Amino acid sequence: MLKIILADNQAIFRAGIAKVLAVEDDVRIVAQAQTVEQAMIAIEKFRGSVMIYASSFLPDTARLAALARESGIQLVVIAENSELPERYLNAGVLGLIFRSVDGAELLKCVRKVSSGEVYVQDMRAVASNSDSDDFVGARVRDRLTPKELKIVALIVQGFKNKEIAVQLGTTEQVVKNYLRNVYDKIGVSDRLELALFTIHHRILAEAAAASAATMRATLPNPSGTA
Amino acid sequence: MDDIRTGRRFPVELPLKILGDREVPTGSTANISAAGVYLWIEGGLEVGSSIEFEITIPGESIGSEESVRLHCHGQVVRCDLGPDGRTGVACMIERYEFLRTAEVGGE
Repeated sequence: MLKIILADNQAIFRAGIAKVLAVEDDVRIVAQAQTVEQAMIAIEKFRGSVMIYASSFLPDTARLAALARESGIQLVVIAENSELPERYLNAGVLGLIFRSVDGAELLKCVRKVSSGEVYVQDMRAVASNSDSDDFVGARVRDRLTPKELKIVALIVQGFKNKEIAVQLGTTEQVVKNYLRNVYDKIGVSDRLELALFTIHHRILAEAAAASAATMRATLPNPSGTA
Repeated sequence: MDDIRTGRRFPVELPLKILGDREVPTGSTANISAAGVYLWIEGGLEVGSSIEFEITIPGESIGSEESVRLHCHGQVVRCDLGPDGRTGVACMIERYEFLRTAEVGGE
């Protein structure tokens, strides 16, 4: 019998995985953890299991891998689309899937990992789907004007409003007006939340960076006007 | 216990260092919102104490050649014992400032 521990604070995702695995005769979900404490208890209690966990839920990979080794548990990480597999594989995690994984591939991964083999979901397939996966990031990107994207890029790069005004050849008040529009469109409340949103949605970060690069290429010497 | 967090939390793992008199090894963020952050660090911090720390946002994640630092002042609101003795620290962010490399001495 293949014992599975599910550790993720997203109940819907846990339920989805459980539904996929429940139809398999030789697979049994022995624990579902929605807190770190519950995950630690499950690792201690259900030795020899395969643990499927979200990277954002248990971010300390090295220590988790050490605990899992002690308990004979094999790990499958559900990674964010922007994460590279090396850091997990180097730490001893055997399986890596993304939230876009389908049922058949999830099962394949779990079976391989339970027998001690490495399984990594194909990054190219994920990359080719990344635009459609990140609906929120893509939607926000498409709603922002080129100038707003430039401002987003400069904000996440740590520029102050006054410096952004110099870069864009406008006034600080105009930058503030643009920023208010950007906040409204994205649904954030300040520049930190804007920066975090942008970092989290790579598709938006890339569009903003490209927009800022275009601006730098076309402006003669923004720093010289300060 | 009621969840008093406000704002959206982003599961963003970034390196950080604690500033101040005490020597605290570097750690990392587990998630951040505009109002607070959850950190993994070695050792403990006193609940209710003030904290000053700097989070590094790598250039590659923002399409820049240079990293950006987020300099924060806040307060420790909770400490949890994590796996293998590391401490999870929940902090409220009271104020912050973005610092570009050029602004911190070209380090």
